Amino acid sequence: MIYKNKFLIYKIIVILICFITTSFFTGSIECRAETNKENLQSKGEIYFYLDNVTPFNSLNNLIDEIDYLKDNGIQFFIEASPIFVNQDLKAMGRFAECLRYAQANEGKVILKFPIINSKGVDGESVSGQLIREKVKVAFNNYTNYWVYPVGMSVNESLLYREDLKNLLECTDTLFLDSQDNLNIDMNNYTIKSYDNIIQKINVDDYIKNNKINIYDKSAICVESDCNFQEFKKNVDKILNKEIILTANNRLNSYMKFDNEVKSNSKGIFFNNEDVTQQRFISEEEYKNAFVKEDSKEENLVKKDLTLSNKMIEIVSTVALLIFLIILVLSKNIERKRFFK
Amino acid sequence: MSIVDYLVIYSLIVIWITVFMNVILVISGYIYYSKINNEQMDEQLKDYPFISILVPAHNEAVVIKKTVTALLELDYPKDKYEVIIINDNSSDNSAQILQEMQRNYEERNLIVINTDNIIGGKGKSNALNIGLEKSTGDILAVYDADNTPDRKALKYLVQTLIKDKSLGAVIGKFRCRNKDRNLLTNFINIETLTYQWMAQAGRWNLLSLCTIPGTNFVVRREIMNEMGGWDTKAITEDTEVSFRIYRMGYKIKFMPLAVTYEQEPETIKVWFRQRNRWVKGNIYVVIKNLKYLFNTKAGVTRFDILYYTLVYFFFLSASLISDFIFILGGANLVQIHIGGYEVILWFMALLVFILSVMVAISTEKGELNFKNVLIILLSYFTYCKMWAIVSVAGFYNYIRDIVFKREVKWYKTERFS
Repeated sequence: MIYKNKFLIYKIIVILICFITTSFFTGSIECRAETNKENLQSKGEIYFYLDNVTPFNSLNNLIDEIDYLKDNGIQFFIEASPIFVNQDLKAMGRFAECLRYAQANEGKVILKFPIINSKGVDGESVSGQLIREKVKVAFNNYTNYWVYPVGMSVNESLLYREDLKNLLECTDTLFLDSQDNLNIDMNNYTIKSYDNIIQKINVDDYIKNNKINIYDKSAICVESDCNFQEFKKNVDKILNKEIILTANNRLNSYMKFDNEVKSNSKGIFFNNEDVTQQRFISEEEYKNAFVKEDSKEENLVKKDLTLSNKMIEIVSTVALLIFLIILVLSKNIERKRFFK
Repeated sequence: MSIVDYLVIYSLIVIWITVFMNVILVISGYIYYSKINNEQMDEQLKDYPFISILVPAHNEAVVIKKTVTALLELDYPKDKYEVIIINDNSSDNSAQILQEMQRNYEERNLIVINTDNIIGGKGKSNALNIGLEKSTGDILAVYDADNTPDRKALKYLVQTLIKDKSLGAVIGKFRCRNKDRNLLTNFINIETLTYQWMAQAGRWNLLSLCTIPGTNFVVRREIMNEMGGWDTKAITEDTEVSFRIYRMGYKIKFMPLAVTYEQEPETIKVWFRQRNRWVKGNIYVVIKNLKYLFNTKAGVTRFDILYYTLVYFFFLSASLISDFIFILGGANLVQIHIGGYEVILWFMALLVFILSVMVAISTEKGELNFKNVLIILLSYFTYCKMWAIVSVAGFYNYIRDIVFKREVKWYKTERFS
C-alpha cells in the first residue's frame, strides 16, 4: 500500500514538472513569436538570395552551400546565369543537376538577366527583341533540364529601357540590383505594376543598414562564388542577427514565354503540371526518364479495353440481377418449407 | 505495350472467362435444384439389387465405429447389402474396434479386411481394389471412413442408377458435419456446397456431366471390372475413374437427395495437406487426359479437361499474376498502360463471386444467413488466396515428384474426435 502511494506521489510530481516545463517553453515561444512579428512588420518580407551562381563556379562548393542552407532550415532563391549555347554539353547537365539539387532542398531558381554589351559582335546595337529571344532560349533550356526559373534578376536601370519592357513583362517577379544614382527622369517612364519587386541587398549592407530599402520586399544576397568558409561566415551573420527570413513559398510568381512556370505555396507548376521536386533528381535519373519518355512515345498505341470492359460490366450486371431474382425465389421457397 | 500489360490482359481474360463460366454453371445448378425439389423418390423399390459398400480405412479408429453403425442402419434391406471395411495397414486400434463390431452385428454382412504393409498401405485406390476383389454386389457403393450417410442415401442412389441404363454411376451430396467448429470449417462448408451446386449440379444439368467426389456414390460393378479397378497411380482416384466412365460411354448423375455427412479438416495444416493431394491428383488426371481434348470420342469429358485446365493452370496463374501486379503497382514498381482498366471491374468480380456463392448456398436450408454472407466476403480475401498458395505448392510438388521420380504418396486426411 505504501509503495503504491509512493508511486502515485512520484507520478504526480513528474506530471507537475512536465506541466511547468511545458508552460515555460510555451510562454517563451509565444514571447519570441511576438518579437518576430514585430521584426517582420518593421522590415517587411526578407528573403535569402544566393547570388552569382554560374556553371563556372565550383559545383562541389555550391552543393556544400545548399547543404548548409538546408541544415539551417533556410529557404532560398538561387540566381542562375542564362545559358544560350552549349546546352548539350556535359557541363550543362552537371550544372542543371546542382540546380535541381537546390530545388529539391527548398531553393527556387531566379534567372539572371544577361550581361549586355553596348554593341553586338557585328558592331550593331543589341535590340530588345534579340535579348528577349536569348532569354527565352535560356528559360527553355533550363526547363528542359527540369530547372524552373520563377522570376528574374535585373539591374534597376534596365527597367526603364523601352525595348526591354516586353521582355521584362514575361514575369511578375523581379529581383532588383538597385542603383542609387539613376540619372533618369522618372516622370517620362511608365512601367508595369509588378506583383513582386524585391530589392537585392548585400548581406553586409543589410546588417550595417548601409542600403536604404525602399521596397517592402528585400532579399539578402550572399555571394556563392567564394570559398565555403566565407559563405558560412556570411550566412552565420544572418543567423546570429536572428533575422527572420521569409519562406520563399510565400511568394506567388510566374515566368512565361511559350511555356509558363508558376510558383506558389502549393509548389511549382510547369504549364499547370505540378513539377515540385520533393526529392533530388540525379543526372542519371533525368537521362533514364528521357529513355522512358522515348519508349513511352513508341508505345503511344496503348491497349484500350474500355469497350470490352463495358461489355463485361453489362454482362456482370445482368448476372447480378439474375442472382438477385434467384435469391428472392430461394427465400420464398425456404419460407414455404418452414411453414409446411 | 510492356510485358506487364500483356500479363494484365491475360489475367483479365482468363479470370472473366472463368467467372462467366461459373455464372452459367451456378444458374444451371439452380435450375437443377428446382427440378430435383419437385422430384418424388420411390420409398419402396420393386427390386433391390445386392450392393457392396466399400469403406477404405487407414487409421480411422476415431471415426470408424460411427461410420459402420450408420452404414448398418441404412434404409435398405439388410440381406441386400454388405459392408466391406478395408482396414488398410492401420497402426491404431481400428482392427479391435471392427472385430468388436463384427461380434455385435454377427447376423449382418459386415466384412473386415485387415491388410498389412505388403499388400496394403498403398493408398485409397489399392484399398478399393482389394475390396472390389472380395465384394459380390452388382452395384458398388463407396463411402469414406468418416461418413455418416442419411438412412435413405443408398436407396436414392441405387434407384437413380437402376432407372437409367445410360448411367454408369450416381453420386450423392456430402455435407460438412463439423461446419461450426471454426472459421476454416465454415469456409469449407460454403466451398463444398458451392462446388456441388455449381460444378456438379450445374454441369449435370447443362452437359450431363459429373465427377465422382470419392464418397457417397454407387457405380456398376461391371464397369469397374471392365476398367480393371481403380488406378493406383492416381491420388485423386475419383476424378480419374470419372473420366474413364465417360469414355466408356456412360454418364454420372448427381442425386442431391442422397446425403452423407463427413468431417472436414479443422486445422490449416490438415487442410493444406488434403488440398495439396487434390491439386497434385487433379494435375495428374488433367495431364493424363489432355490427349483426349481434341478427340471427339472423349465426348463431354473434353469440357472437364478444359475446365480443370482452366482452373488449375490458367485461372490460378491469372489470379496470382493479378495479385502480384496489384502489389507491384501499389508499390509503384510497375506501370500499366491499359485504358479502361477500372476498379469497377474488380468490384463487379467481387459482387459476382459473393452473389453466385449466395445462390449456391441458398439451396440448403438455413445456410443463406448474414453470418455466411460475411464469411463469403471474408473468404474472397483469405480462403481463395489460401487456395492459390496450395495450388502453387501442389504444382511444385507434382513437378518435383516427376523430376525426382518420387513414389506418389496418398495422404490420409487426419480425423478429429
